[in-house]
Amino acid sequence: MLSKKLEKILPLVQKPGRYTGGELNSVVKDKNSVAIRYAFCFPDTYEIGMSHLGMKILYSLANARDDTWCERVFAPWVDMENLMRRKGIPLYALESGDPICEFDLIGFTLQYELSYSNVLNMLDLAGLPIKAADRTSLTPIVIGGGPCVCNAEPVAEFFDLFLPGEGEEISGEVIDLLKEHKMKGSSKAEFLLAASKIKGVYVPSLYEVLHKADGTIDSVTPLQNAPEKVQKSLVKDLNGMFAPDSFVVPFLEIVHDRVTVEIFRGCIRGCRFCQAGFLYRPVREKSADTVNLQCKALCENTGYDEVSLCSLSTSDYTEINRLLTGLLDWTVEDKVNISLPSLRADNFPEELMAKLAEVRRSGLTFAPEAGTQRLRDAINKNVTEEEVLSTVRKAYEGGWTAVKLYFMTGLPTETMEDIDAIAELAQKTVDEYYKNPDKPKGKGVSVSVSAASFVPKPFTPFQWEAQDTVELLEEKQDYLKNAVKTRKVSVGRHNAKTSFLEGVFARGDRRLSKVIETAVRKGCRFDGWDDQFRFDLWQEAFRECGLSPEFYANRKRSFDEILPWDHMDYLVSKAFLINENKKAHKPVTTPNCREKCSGCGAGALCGGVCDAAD
Amino acid sequence: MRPIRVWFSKTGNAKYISHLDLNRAMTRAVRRAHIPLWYTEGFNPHPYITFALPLSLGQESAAEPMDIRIESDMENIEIKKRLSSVMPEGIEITGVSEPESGASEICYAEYEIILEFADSGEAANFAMRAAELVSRNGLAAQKPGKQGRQKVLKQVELKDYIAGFNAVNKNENVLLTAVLSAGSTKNLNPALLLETLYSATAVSAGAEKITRKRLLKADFEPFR
Repeated sequence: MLSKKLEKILPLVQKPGRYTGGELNSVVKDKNSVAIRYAFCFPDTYEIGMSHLGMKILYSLANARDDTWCERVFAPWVDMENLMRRKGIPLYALESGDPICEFDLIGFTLQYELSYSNVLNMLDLAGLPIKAADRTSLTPIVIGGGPCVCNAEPVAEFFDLFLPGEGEEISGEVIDLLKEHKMKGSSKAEFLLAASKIKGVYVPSLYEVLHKADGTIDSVTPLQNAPEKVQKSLVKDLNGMFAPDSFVVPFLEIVHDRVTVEIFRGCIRGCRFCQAGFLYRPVREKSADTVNLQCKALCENTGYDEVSLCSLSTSDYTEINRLLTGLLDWTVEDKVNISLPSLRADNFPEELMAKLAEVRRSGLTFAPEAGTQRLRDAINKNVTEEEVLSTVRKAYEGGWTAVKLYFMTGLPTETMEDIDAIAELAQKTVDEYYKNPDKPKGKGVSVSVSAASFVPKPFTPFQWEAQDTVELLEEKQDYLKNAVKTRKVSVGRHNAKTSFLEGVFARGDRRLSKVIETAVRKGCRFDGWDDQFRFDLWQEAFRECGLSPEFYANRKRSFDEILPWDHMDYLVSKAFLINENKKAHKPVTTPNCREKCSGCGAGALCGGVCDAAD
Repeated sequence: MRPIRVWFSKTGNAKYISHLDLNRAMTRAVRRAHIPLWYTEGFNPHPYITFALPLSLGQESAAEPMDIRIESDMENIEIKKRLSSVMPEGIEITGVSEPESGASEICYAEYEIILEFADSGEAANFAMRAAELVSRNGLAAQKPGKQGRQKVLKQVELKDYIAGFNAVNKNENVLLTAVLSAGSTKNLNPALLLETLYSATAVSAGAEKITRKRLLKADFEPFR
């Protein structure tokens, strides 16, 4: 189904398999027999986008409808984009090869702030005006979903509507409404007004934002009876929720090339830096039986030989042992491996370790996040050094010889002492290995320390905090590198400038739209890729637009400032977040949701009780 | 344990599946097929799958052999049926047989190449000149190779690798059939032959479709 023009350029690009479609389980329908054509766009490469579970779920869900054909679109890599522009090939969808400008619905998933430039570039490559106001016909409607939608203000001008929260149920309502208005021959304005009446739909053009002279927000006024606050959507029952029984199986090797099944949503922990921990509240579990059946069906339909259980903090799953027992019943026979990507250092039972040892052994990763107990208390990472070391000890006894430790630098209240402590903790982790009398002969230990730069995010207790400057973050990275004295420990660096820009957009406002547009015109794209990131061009764009990125990243806000995302409601109350912020500065910890409910407000949608409060 | 040879064609979009990706795709396909696969007995058991001769990215094939091993004596016809039902688009199972010879016996491959030129004049010119160049005594080409660790361009004499060649033009197309050395010791990729012909004739095709038709042994008998 590839056009002749495309056939001519494919031999000239890297990994042509990214652009051909035709993978196993991809859905092809007759375009004349559907009412809605839906282009699901992931603003990054094929390998990244195809690894994303949310896309797999929403793709299968939309295609389960007879009236809709949902197709996949990824950002073409630079070499392909250049050739497409030169040969006049517009951005097309993989299943049909048709240009997406002809589609009814174009959905972007916004997973990462630094993919914003790709969104604009993809709209442009599709031949569409990038600004929503300049796309005057009813279709295509451009919608956005994903975690960044909790503050989508920096890209508000480019989208027609956003779906904050979980998309499973609400996206179907939007498709229904669009179908109805398409048949009626409505104008775009009529459709958007009707959409704004659906609970959980945010139409940014129906909100007027005014700024004060100092750049902060003066007021946000809903127009035409749009709701004062847009509440996120939520799936109440994960067992009854749609779950795909097959995945598109790519030919190329992608980042997460395996069956992935979600075991629960939300997190009981309340780590104060973690946006996901607050955005996805409350905790809702899927039953072990449901997970087991879904894993089995997916393996059957894809031929994958690895299953990954997906959630925040996997070891908090109440049925973890029952689930692993159930999985081992058939995975051993079928030669399928199980991986658990997100484990905590404080509740890693020996039983679980033994079960994991039965399946294939990969590296173990733990995230103490901070070096000192004081800072771990401040960020509410309720893990003690003894817990980290005892877990590592168990891992060594179980035969592991490589451990990854995740830390953050630039956390609020951090000092150089806290950085020293990261190096010390890494050293203790190494020492623990040599204390083990049964350690494998002739085998050393390798501890890799990854120190990411902290980025304050909306809807966390740290949403008011100043981010460390690029200079300070780089100084801390150098300091850590020098503090590590052994070759058994390797330290991974993150680009501080990338984290800085991420911080700008995470808490940005609508004025940033013109900066993003300017930067894209200058050639910025794939900003999350170090080899493509052009910080100089971004700086130019900020200067030309007369805006200071430091205003967004490095400024501490007061509790009474109107924040750009205040008209979004993610259930967690501001009073709770303020209280958590104050506790961080003391520092005082907050118990996890299962120990004691802290009244964050997230249980409201589930009738006041969430799983965690039981 | 019984070794079997599965024959498949790889056409259309499947030509963009690289050799490495094909290996993975086939491993998953045989897992989906529920045939009694034999697994290797190491720490990380995996099905035994090998391909006699990798096919270049962008080239199609009418008959590629894939060797697998099975545990029981399931009939070939049943294996073919099960495999056929799980193949991705563009890959079709054409047969299942007992291997008669080993991969090292492959000496030649027969290719069918369809080239599309700007117009019929250019096509006629290319077909004539190409036939001439191949029938001459020497046809030198530059092949990227290595000297120690350094990457260098090596001079190779293509004539030593061409066992058969024919070119006919029709309208703006040229149909080439070529029997070229193939295998682990002596191998000529048809893409290199085309490149050499383009630079020698100073005309190049706007589109090319390369299909490997079959694999041959030293005596030009088909590899089975």
